Amino acid sequence: MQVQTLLKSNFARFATAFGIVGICTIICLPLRDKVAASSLPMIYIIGVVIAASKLGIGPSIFSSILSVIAFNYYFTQPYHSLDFYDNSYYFTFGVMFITSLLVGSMTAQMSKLLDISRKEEKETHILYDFALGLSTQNNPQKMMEFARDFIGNFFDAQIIFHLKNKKNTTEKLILLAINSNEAIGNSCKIEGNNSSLYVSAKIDNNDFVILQTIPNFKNNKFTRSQIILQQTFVSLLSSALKSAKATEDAARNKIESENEKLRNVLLSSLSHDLRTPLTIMNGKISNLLKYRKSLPRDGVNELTSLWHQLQKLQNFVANLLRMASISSGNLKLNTEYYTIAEIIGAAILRIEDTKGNRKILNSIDGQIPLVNVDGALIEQVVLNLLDNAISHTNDDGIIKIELCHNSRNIVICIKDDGNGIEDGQEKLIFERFKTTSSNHDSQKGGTGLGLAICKGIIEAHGGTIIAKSNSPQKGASFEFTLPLPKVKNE
Amino acid sequence: MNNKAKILIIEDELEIRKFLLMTLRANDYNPIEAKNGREAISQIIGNNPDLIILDLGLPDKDGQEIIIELREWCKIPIIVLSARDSEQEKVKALENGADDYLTKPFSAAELMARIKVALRNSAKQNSNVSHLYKFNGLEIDFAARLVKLEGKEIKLTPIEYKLLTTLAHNAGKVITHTQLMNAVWGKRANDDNSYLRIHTQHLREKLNDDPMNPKFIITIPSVGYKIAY
Repeated sequence: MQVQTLLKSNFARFATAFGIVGICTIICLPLRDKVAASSLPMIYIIGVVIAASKLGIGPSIFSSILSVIAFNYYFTQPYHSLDFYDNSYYFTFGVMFITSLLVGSMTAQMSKLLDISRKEEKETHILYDFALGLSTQNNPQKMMEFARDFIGNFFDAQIIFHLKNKKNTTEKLILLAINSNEAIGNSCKIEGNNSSLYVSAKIDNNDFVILQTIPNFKNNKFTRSQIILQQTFVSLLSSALKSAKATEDAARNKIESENEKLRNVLLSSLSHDLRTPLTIMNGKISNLLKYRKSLPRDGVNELTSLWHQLQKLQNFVANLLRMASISSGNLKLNTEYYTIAEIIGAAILRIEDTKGNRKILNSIDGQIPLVNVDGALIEQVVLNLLDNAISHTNDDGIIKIELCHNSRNIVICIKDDGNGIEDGQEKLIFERFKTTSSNHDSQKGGTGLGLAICKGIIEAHGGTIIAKSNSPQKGASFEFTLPLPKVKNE
Repeated sequence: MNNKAKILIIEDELEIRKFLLMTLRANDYNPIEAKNGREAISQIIGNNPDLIILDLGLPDKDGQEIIIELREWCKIPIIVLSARDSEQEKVKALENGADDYLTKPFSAAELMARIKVALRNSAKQNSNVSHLYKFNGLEIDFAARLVKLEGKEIKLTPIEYKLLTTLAHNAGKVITHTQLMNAVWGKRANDDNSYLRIHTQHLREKLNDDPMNPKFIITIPSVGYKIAY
């Protein structure tokens, strides 16, 4: 390490070159009278090659020149002078100079290439170790920990990772690193930042991982190649995180869909098996009720109550089956043209028995165009909404159905004058098995499926459904839209 | 009446069969039973029932096939029972020739109402004397091609008239969209049922029949129409 840094300073390199030529001269001096002078330049050339391979091109040229001068001074007659008698030495000097220059520069170049390839090999090795290390970590948390230790050790620096979403990041430097796609901090003069370097890489659409490096060494600047290496580390990390995320997502999705499938199979076979005994019970109770005259009063009451409970159970089973088919994702819409009024009429007809003394009023705003929908399913939606309105209003309540349309949708609004919806519950009530918290009264008998079914059906039609409390009047409104068929281009 | 209507129950569930037998007896019908398709055929040939109640989910044969086979040689009214709440299945049964359907679970009262309508319609077809439909102030004189509402004559277009009379001939019975379109437009009928909707809408307006609160023409979504009876 010390030798290397020493060799880096220019002065030291030239001084070393000088020294090498000196050593060559000391080696040659004892041979001066025993060997032909013209053989001695070979020893100098060895010196030049050594200088070239260790010190670079400059010192190698320097040592070539120095060698010729030293050879002339010490080994040509007259000794210890730059004069020479034999004119053929011109030739010797020339060849010696050119040869040492050529050999020197070639050696210097080769050793430079060797250096580069060694460095590259080292980097490749490090990156390979890094990638291998990352791949053995099985979750993003551990990947980050590993990367932090690895990069920290390598650069002798403190490492901080930031996982940020582009859209909600306010930190100036991080945002700059994300947007510029370059290393930020080292060369850029940014106020408030003295030594950190920021490098970012994309994980997903807007998610980025940002590497913040705080060097531990004094002259806290990274070289260009170190910065490039950091960028490589971060992009390796980001792709590892990305694939970890994808694997995690896929695993979660698989489990979810398996659960969903199982649930639906269970639901539908349960509902099917429930229907037969329900039919039998239904028939037997209705037959028993025929004998009400010969039954004691209490018996008739019990039987009537049993009958009502059975109707609820039937409703619940029907809802379960409907929900199962909606949530299994293979709800097939059997669409036809309808006037929405006739579907609502069909639904009103079906709740005739349960509505009691409640009034159902309607208002139609203008001529409503035909819609292309699955009639039975939309009837179910209206039925569930009316059912919901009935169970939340008093027996003398008023339910209003309002129809209107715009250029894209028809809008159906069902308003009641019941107890309304609690604040904050407007969205929750459309979730499965959710009933409003005010709805503790079992007499109201919400199954928590009716509105979820409505939502599923309406969304399958490309419409929307919302609930809100009426203000300042009391009660709740349920409003759903159905898209109008696109005008044919024929 | 000495001659009680004979009703054949084709149903594989013992308990449902028992309930149907009991209910029909209590309502003054003469029920007979079959627990599968094979038994059903021999009962129909041997006993010549006036009406058939058919469960679609039989162990040995598809209920829809039984309807098709029966319709090749007999006109006995068929009421279908189904454990599946599937409109397509209902439409298929009706178009194969069933007269009505009920989805399990159903009440005894519903079943009785359907039986009454089916028996009346078949009696009318056999006697061929129904020249008149009268209900809730609406009067149709088929022979004179005359439609009156509260005693006042209403002018209908030929299509509207055909629509109304097709429903009225089968009062109380559900007519599927395809059946109705075939009856009105013949085999040229288009799959697109928007014309049917528009003509029905006009017909309702002329009959002063609010679709949200219908007195006469009742929509059965995804299945068809029926006229009140």
